[in-house]
Amino acid sequence: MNKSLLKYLSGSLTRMLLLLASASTLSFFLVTASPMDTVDAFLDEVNVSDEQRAHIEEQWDLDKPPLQRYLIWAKHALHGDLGRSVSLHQPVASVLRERFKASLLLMGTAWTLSGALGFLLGVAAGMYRGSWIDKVIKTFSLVLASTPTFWIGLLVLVVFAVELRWFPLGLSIPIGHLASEVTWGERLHHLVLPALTLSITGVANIALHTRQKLIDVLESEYVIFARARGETLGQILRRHGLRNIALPAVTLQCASVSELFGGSVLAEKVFSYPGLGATAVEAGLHADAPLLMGIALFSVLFVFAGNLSANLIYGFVDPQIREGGRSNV
Amino acid sequence: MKKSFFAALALAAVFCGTAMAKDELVISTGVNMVAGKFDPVLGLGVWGPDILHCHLLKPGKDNLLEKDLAVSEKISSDGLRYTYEIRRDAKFADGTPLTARDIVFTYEKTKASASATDLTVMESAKALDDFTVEFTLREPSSLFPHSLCFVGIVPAHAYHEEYGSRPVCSGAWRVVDFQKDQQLILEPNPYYYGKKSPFRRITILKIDEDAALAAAQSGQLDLVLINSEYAHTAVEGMDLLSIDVLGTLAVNLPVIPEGTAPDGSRTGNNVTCDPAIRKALNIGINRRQLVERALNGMGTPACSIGGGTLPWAAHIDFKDNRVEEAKKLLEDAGWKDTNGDGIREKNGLKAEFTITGRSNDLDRYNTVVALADNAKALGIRIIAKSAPWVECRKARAVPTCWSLGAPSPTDFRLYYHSSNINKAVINNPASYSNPEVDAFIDQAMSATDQSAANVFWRKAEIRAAEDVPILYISRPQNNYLVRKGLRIPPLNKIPVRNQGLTVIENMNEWSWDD
Repeated sequence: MNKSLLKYLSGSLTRMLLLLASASTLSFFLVTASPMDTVDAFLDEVNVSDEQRAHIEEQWDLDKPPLQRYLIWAKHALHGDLGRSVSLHQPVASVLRERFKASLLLMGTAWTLSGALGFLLGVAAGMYRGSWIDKVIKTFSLVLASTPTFWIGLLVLVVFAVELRWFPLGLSIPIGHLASEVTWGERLHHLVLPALTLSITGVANIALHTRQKLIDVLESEYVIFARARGETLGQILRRHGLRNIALPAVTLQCASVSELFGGSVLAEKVFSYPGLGATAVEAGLHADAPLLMGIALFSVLFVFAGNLSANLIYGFVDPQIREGGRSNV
Repeated sequence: MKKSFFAALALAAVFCGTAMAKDELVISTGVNMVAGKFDPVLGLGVWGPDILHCHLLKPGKDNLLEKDLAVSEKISSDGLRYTYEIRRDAKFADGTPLTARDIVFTYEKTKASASATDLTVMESAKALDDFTVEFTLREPSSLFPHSLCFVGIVPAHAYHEEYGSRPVCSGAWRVVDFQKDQQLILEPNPYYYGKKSPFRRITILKIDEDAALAAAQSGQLDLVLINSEYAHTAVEGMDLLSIDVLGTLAVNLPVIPEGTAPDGSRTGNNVTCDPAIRKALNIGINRRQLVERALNGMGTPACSIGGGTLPWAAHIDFKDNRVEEAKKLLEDAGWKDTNGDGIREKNGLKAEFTITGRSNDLDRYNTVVALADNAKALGIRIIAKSAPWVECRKARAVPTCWSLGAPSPTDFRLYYHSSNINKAVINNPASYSNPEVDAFIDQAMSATDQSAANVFWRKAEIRAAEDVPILYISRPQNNYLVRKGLRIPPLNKIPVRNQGLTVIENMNEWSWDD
């Protein structure tokens, strides 16, 4: 560990705290300004007396001015208490925990899959530029990049679940099975299609960028020199290629964390897979301020972590960036 | 369209190869049972039938109040003290006995919480001994015993802040596993004092409205709630079960001219405030036809709340579709079509207004559309508008289609008593005020005997019906496809509509035919 890294991390931490504060403020005031009424959404069609309505508002602090409500929330949040979701009748922290567990498996698998697959395809296409392999991979990537996630989901369902019947079409575990009885095999069986769908669009992006970068590298003077020295394509790739082409892949892969968040909303909906995305929609529809702010904070952390890890990985991959960081900070 | 195709497709194959043993059932009753929120303290029993907990009283045969957990009832002559003795054999699903202490805990917790169960009239609850509980009221209220049907008893020793996801049950069923928005797996509560189900396990799945028919056709479900539009589609191995329900589709017709409520919101309607418009609609529309057109014939016309099937409601019935008579009524009141556009005018005001229909309840929107068509024949233009419920429910100026009717007359008071005008967003949406009706309602409230109270409720209803602040139209049915051989005994009463949950109310009495 060196001093500059520590300095960089502490700077990032400050930025993150500022980001969290502004994200929570913004989402709170957006919910407050929305025409949705929390008590209306809670009661639905149930009718109560005016007195009871006032009682509910009092219990939820809705009788207080927005600024005061936000400060109360912020005070509790600083102590680790994110409040209670009024639409799900559960503490926000436990909703997040519960939902994230389901989403993490899905998003984690999709993320790893799209990164690894995209990089491999990109390298293959770049190495054999102009060959049939390149053409196939390029066409495949361009088609995927221009296809919406939900449509891919539909296609995947038709082929693998309806026609071939290899995989189930929905839910995260089999019907009528207790969650405790479900084996990892069954869980994975239910995970395959949603994870595949979610990863497929990320693949194209990374493959195309990696391919282009590799082509640039292969045309560079130091590679021509290496060729002249008699190095094989494999050696050139190992010695001069990988480090250079990893940068765009890492950037895209880490930035795609936020896209993954958005994409998972669709994938979850299509495959009736319960996760954070579906919960966020629910929270918005019920004007559930505590839950919405909890989710906002959580996604900020998530995306921030993605970007931060990209920055750190740059430093390890590329000495130029490491040195540059040192002189700047 | 895309969504429904998707959902249907998804279900066509999702059930492959999961055939259940005969002592297990897989059913789907819409989305409500799998949303969680199984906490009676927050209002579980108000939103739908609570089969996980027992209650002091329940709406029994013909919707008259019956004892459930209670064995005796004593009401003080001033109507302020209600004393109940409870059964001694009641236990929670964890085997601990249910005592008066749990009841007091449940009621006090409910009263203190932000709950949909309105216990404002209750002053206190007190355990006189292990099996006797006494409630003290702030003022006499004949509605109080009805609220005893809503509050399921939770264990004082095991209530926690996530009870809604992991309830310890006291009713016919206990939750074995709950996977939110996916499935709820129930087993009979071995300690329940009532009838125990012969089934070992029942799984309730979440299935969207659009996908229900495909789910039924997949052959993997034993009971599926379906939309009325699919009611005439034959599915192999399944029979149609249509259950008559109380929920009466009705439109509030504001009786006051346009104005502003104290909170600044718009209120009243210049067209519907004319009694002639309201009365003409009441006798001029063809309810039978509305049922055919809007509900695919799966329902019954209704001229009053609950269609006269409730013990506290009057049986009001009259011949409708009297188009000529309705037209004459409008002419006499000065509504004439002077410019020949088919819409009547009076003093330059067109007989035209908007009615909203809840966007996620097709029956209601379709009813409004059919109603608009009916009204056209009378020279009244109704603009049907589909809107989310949060918008619909603010109906003081723009009427909406409601679903009214419950074993308890609570709502009737909130909808008709003048003290509820401009209160709690949806109370008294017609801004109806009539001292006679108010007086009858007050008398009903202060009665200590339910049958005495019912006499006044009926009087209030009959008097109010003359002014048509609310136009009653029809009662849609809840439709299910049920596997042949699965016997679902009748409920001996007309149940609440409850977005399709109705059927599970007596799930512990289901069995296979021999």
